[in-house]
Formats: sequence, structure tokens, C-alpha cells
Amino acid sequence: MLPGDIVSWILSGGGEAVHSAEVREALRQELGLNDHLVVQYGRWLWSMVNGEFGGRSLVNGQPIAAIVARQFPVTLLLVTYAVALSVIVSVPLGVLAAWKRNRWQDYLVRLITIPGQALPNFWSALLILLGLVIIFRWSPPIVYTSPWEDILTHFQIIFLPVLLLAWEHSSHIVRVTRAYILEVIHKNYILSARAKGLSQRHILLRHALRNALVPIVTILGLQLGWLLSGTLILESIFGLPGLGGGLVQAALVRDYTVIQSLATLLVFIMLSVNLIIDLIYGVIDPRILLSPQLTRPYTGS
Amino acid sequence: MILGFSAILVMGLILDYYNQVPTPISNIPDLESIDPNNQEKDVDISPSFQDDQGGDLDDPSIQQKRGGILVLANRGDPPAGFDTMRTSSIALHHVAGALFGPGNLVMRCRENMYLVCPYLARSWLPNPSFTEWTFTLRNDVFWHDNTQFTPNDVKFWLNLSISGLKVGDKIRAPAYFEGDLGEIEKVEVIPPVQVKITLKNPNRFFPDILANPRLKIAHPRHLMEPRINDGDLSVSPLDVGLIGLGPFKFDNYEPGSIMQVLRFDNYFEHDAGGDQLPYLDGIDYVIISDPVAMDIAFRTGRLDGGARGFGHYLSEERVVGYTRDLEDNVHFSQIEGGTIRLAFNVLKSGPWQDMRVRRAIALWIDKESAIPAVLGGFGWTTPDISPNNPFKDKRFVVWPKFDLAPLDERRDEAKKLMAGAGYSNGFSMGHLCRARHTQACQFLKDQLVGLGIDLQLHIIDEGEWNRARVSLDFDTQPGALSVLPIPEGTEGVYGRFSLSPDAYSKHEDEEVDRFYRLLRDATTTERRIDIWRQLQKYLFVEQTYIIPIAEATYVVPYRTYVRGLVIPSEDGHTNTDFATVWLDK
Repeated sequence: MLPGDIVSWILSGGGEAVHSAEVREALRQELGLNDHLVVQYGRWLWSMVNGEFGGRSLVNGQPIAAIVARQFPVTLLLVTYAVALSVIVSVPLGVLAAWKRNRWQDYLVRLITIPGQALPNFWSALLILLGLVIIFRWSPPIVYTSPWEDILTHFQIIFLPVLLLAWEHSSHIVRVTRAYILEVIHKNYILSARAKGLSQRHILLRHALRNALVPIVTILGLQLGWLLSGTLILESIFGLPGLGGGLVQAALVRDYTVIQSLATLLVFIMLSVNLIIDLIYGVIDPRILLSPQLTRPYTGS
Repeated sequence: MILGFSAILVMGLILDYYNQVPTPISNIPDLESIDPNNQEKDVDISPSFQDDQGGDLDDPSIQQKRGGILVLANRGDPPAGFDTMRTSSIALHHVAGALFGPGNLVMRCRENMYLVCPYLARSWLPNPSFTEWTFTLRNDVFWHDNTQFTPNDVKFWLNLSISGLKVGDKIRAPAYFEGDLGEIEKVEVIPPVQVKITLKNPNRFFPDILANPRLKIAHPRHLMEPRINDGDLSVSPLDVGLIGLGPFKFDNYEPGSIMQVLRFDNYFEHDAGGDQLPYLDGIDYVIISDPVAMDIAFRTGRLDGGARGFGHYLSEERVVGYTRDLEDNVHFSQIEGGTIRLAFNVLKSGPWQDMRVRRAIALWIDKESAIPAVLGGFGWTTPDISPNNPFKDKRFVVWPKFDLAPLDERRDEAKKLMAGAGYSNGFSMGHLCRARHTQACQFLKDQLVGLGIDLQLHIIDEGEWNRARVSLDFDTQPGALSVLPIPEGTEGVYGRFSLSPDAYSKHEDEEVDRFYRLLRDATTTERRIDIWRQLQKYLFVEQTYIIPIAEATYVVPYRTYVRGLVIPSEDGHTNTDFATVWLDK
């Protein structure tokens, strides 16, 4: 069980005011926290299916559906930009690193990607922000603006978190791409392609990369969880009012209904993305669609 | 692109390293310059009505400029639907001062927060036994929807605060401060503009209680009553459009981003020259939960003022960064803040139940070293209530008055006490440690090693802290609750556990009750101060239920062009209305 008491948190204003046990008890009753846990959980489950999406926040009484409607687009944009940027950057870099294995290009790619995997993004974020302050006396805007309101301000505020998320995300993909390309290029069909006189570029892009794409796409999907967790702190640092920051805040104050609803939403997103990736497998490698026939047990007939 | 940022990062770190030369902070007084020998010197509480930068707010020769938007950081989203009955969170009250006003029927005076000034009431009168208080309201106060503020609004607010609501199975909890209001027997409206509040027991300090800035009236009867009658008992100020009585009216709120307020043209307060307040066109409160992000935004000119609240208050190191970037363009306001302390749960079995052990720990701790080690260089050793507070025992202003011997001698005495109690080899003792205060916990742990005490830190976040601190599941705790800046207001944190479960130290000492009874019966300020001194000596020395170590000085940055700020000497919830602020640019 998550320890802590939301009622005390509300009444004490974060732990700095005195209140009586009677008031605490009355608020507990008002919020329905005196009901049996099963009753509370049942109430929440019902609210998830009746269109209320978890009911209301215990801290501020706002409908959770409204909170999600406000926060989800921010995180969606952030993650979409980060995934797009990382795919655009990481796959070519991974191919390049494999192609130029153990040459300076490979070393340079490693130099960029290993810190990307190793450094916590919130730490990098603060250092970069401090660097910008010290050198350029500049910082990103502090009030979030959607791209439909002001595209330039939106770009200024979201550029750095996207870059940091993409750095972390793509670092892993670059390493995976490099590893799988290196594995594939020693296969017999690549040798055949070389024997047929195909160019190195053609072999890498049409044969090696395509065969390495399945694990790369798998990693892309699995990495989404990391990407979403990366938004938790970055959204707070950069003042982005997204799901990540909202979830952290809800957890800190024990806003159980919000935590449960947002966690359920994130699980749903993860499952959906992995389902989509499963479907993409068939497009990337048609053999996967045929696999039921290929793997049917031999009956002797 | 990534390489570019890596280069920026490295260059930034190099430059930062070479910029670490300490910069003199000209506009922060040297706290060490306070003469520890001059302990009987009176604390100046004269009502000079100075703004925080020395500009005389009453001086008609100063021409305040009207207009402009003040951009302030706010520590987080105001919780609980902006309901001032629900929470004292500074994230709410930093914003709520502008929306709902700095006070209630009365307020803490801007020129001297220890005095009570009229606010929504223009005068008040007690009966001879101090059981009835009659307030006469101003007749020029309007809600932000231009509805007249009436005595019925006061009655509605007080009843809602004290009793909450109960309709069938539904309830609305009373206000968290209902205990502070005391036992109100009834509230009567005396038409056309008076309210009579009848108390069950005499209370000479009822206006002091009402002046608490947390008791803001944010509940318009004409808007809330219909919602309540429709069954929405938990209706909050946010639900009715944040219609308040303060100098600024609600304009826009984007959770997680920004809260915007605009000048209320029908606001009743005027300055000494007769000009209507407020001077500003509006205030933007930018929600910035990360203190470093606030620093960066301020240092690059995106903010006019910092947030109030622990974590966002500046440390000495952070002030250096501000002054390096902004030089004379930044001003640091100081508010006496929370105290680092060690409070014992003497209701739990352990060596600390022996008064000699508690006293030994008090003598052992090097309190002065807590200031640089824990308080970021801003603070002083003091027992309780701000040094500027007239009720403060002046002998305590520079600690330790009761422990004047050099540290070595005190530590020798501490060892003798420990030996006398049978603990010369020390013992192990638990300590509830708030995750946000780990530095203070580590300081205490390091300090007590020399006394043979192994302080086991149980590091907990705010959620668990709020549960554990009112329980008996701990050996010691830091305590961090705010109290009214009057002696009578401290019972909630020093009283007996059965009467005050939030008390720092958990004890059932009836002698403490006796002191508070004496305080309530005292008829003169001198008598109150005398009792208060005796009580402090009893709590901090004779019984050592609590060891006050050092008090933080909270530092809030503002740009120098932000003029007319009224910064309270303590309690950051005070003077958050910004009605007298103007921009000199």
C-alpha cells in the first residue's frame, strides 16, 4: 500500500498547518475515503466505464476526464516529436555505425549515444538550461503554448525536452540498429548479394536494414515506456502541463483516483502501441503473416 | 545538434566554475552583525509603513506608477479548488491574496504585521467580558461580480467554516482552521452593516485570529448557496468562478501553466494619497514547480518575482547566481521562516523519556553550525516565533541565552547527563525525516554521533509525513507546522497530545495546559510576554520536549523595479495581495 494520507495533505497545506482530528475525519467522510476499499475501488471502476473516466480528483474536485483532455495533447505532442526525431536520426546513425564499424564514424556515434543512455535526462536538462543562462542569458518561455496558438513559442518551449527525450531514446535505437545490422551482414544472403555485385549501399538499405527492422521496431515499442517515464520529470522542469507532470503531482499528494486513471491510460497506450507494432511486423516482414501455415504441426497426411 | 548542446554544456560548466568567486550581496543584511551581547535591545516594531526597499508608501511625494503586469512564479497549482477553508498551501495563498484579499474582517497591518488593522470591517467592539464581538462592515465592499458584500456573507462564511454542512448522507467538512476560531456560539446579523459574534468563552484576541491571512473569505453566499441547496455541498470557489473580494479579479487559469488576474476597478482600498488600489493592471502567476527552473526563468528576465514556499526560497548559493546575472537589478526580500527542531515523542518508550537525555541532546547540538550546513547560510539560532515578533522572548533572540557556556563545556555537561541517565554508551533513536529536509536530518544524525546516539533516519515523502506526524509511530520528528504569531496560537504545536495531536512533541504534560490557561486569562501584554517566557523555558529547557535549533530566513527575489512590496517579517502567507505594488519601469 502507498503510505500517506491525502486528507492530511490537503488540510495541512503540504504539512505546514494545524488542523483537528474531527475536521480530518469529516473531510475523509466527505471525500468518501471512509468507505470500504472494495467500495471505493468499485466506485472508481464504474466511473471508468460510465464515461466519467475515473470520476473526480480528490485534491481539487476537477473531473479526471477534463484533466486528461488538457494534459494528454501536451504529452502526445512531446512524445510524437521525440519519436519522430529519434527515428529520423537513430536508424541512419545505426546503419552508419555498422557500415563504418571500428572507424572514426563509429566511434563518434558511440561518443554521442553512450552518454545519451547513461545520463539521467533531468540532470542533462538542468545542465543545458544552466548552460544557456550562463552563455546566452536565455531560457525557454515559461508558459506553455500549443502549436495552434503560437508555433514559434511552442517550438521554443518544447525544443529542448524533445531533444533530450530523443537523445535518450535514439541512443538505444542506434545501438540496437548497429548490433542487428552487424549480425545480419554476416548472413549468407548478404554474401549472395555481394557475389551478385550489388553496391554496399544497396545491400545495407535493401537487404540488411530490412531484415534488421523487426527487432528495431520492437525496441521502438518497448522504449515507449521509457519515453513516457522520461516525460515525468522533464515536464516539470520545462513547465509543460502534460500527463507526466500531472502524474508525478498526483502521486506526491496521494490523489489516488487521478493516479489510477492516468496509470490505466498509460497502460492502455502501451498496449495499443505494442498491438500496432505487432501489426507492423507483417508489413515489414511478410513471412510473419505466413507463419501460422509455416509452423503448422506435421500430421503425416 | 546534440554535439552543439554538448559543447554548450561543457562551456557552461567551465564558465560556471570560473564564476564561482563569491559575489558580495549588497542588499542582504549581514545577519552575523547582530550583536549577541545586546540581547535586551528592543525589537523595533514601530509602524513606519516602509515598503521592502525603503520607499515610504505613505510618502505623497512618491508617485506610484499605475499599470503593468507583474509576473510572479507560483510553486504549484492552487489545490482544493482554491478553497481557503480547505488548505493553507502557499501554492494557493500566494495567488489567493490578490483574488480574495489579504485578510478577513480585519487584517494584519501592512506597516506592522503584529498589529490588527481594519479590512472588510471598519471597526469592532467587544463586550466587557470579551465573549461578544461586534464588527461594523464597510459599505463599499463588492464581490468581483459587483454584488454588495453584506453581513449575511460573513454569517454564511463563519457558519460554513465552523460547522460545515450535513444534508442526509452528504457532508461538507468544516474549515481546517475551525479550531483556531474557538468556540463560536452564534453569529447574528445586525442590519444594516453589523455582525455580532458570540463566543462560548472569553477571547481577548479574537481579532488577532481573524487577521490570520489564511482566513480569506472566498465564498460568495449569493453564488454558493444555490449550489449547496441543489445538493453540491462541496462547491468550491473555483466552481463559482473565483469571485472574490480582493484587489484583483480572476481572468484566466490554465492548470499547470499560468493563473492570471486583472485589476478589480471596484476595489475599496485607497492609498494615503486617496488613489485607488491596486496600481497594477494585473498579475500573471506562472506555475513553476521546479525551483531550478524558477531560478533560470528569473535570471533570464522572464519573471519579476519568485515564488513563496519552501524549496523556492533561495539559498546563499542561489543568491550568488542571481546577483552575478542581474547585479543591481534584483532585490532579495527576507521573511523569517520555519525552524529546524528536534521534538521528542515522550509517549513512546525509549531513553528519550528521561529528561536528562533530552537535555543532554539539547546541550550537545552545535546550533550555530546548522545555519550554513542546513539553511543555505540564511538563518539564525532562535527558539520560536520570528525575532521581530514582539512576543518573542528577547533573551532568546540570539540563542543560546540559557546555554551560554562554550560548546565544549556544554558538551561535557551533556556527557555527564547521559552517564547519569545510564546511557554513556549511547543508544539508537529513530527520526521521522521529511524527504525535502534531508539536509537537516543528516545534520542531526552527524551531530549526535559524538554523543553516542545513532539517529536512524526514516526518510518519508510529504504524503507519509502528514500521516506519521500526527501519530505516535516515531521517536523524534522535526515538526514544521505554522502557528499564529501570538503565544496563544502555539497551543496546537506545543500542547498535550490528547488536545493537540499535531503537536511537535507528543506529551501529556498538564503543566503546559496550565500555562496556556494563564495566557488566555492574562489581561495585559506584559503579563502575556511573561507567561510566554516561562512557557518557552519550560518547554525548551526544563523539560526539553523540543529542541529549537535554528530558524530559516526565507529569501524571495524580486526585480528592483518592483516597488511597493510589503514583505512580512514572518509567515509568507501574509501580504500576498500585492495591492500596493507598482512597476517602476
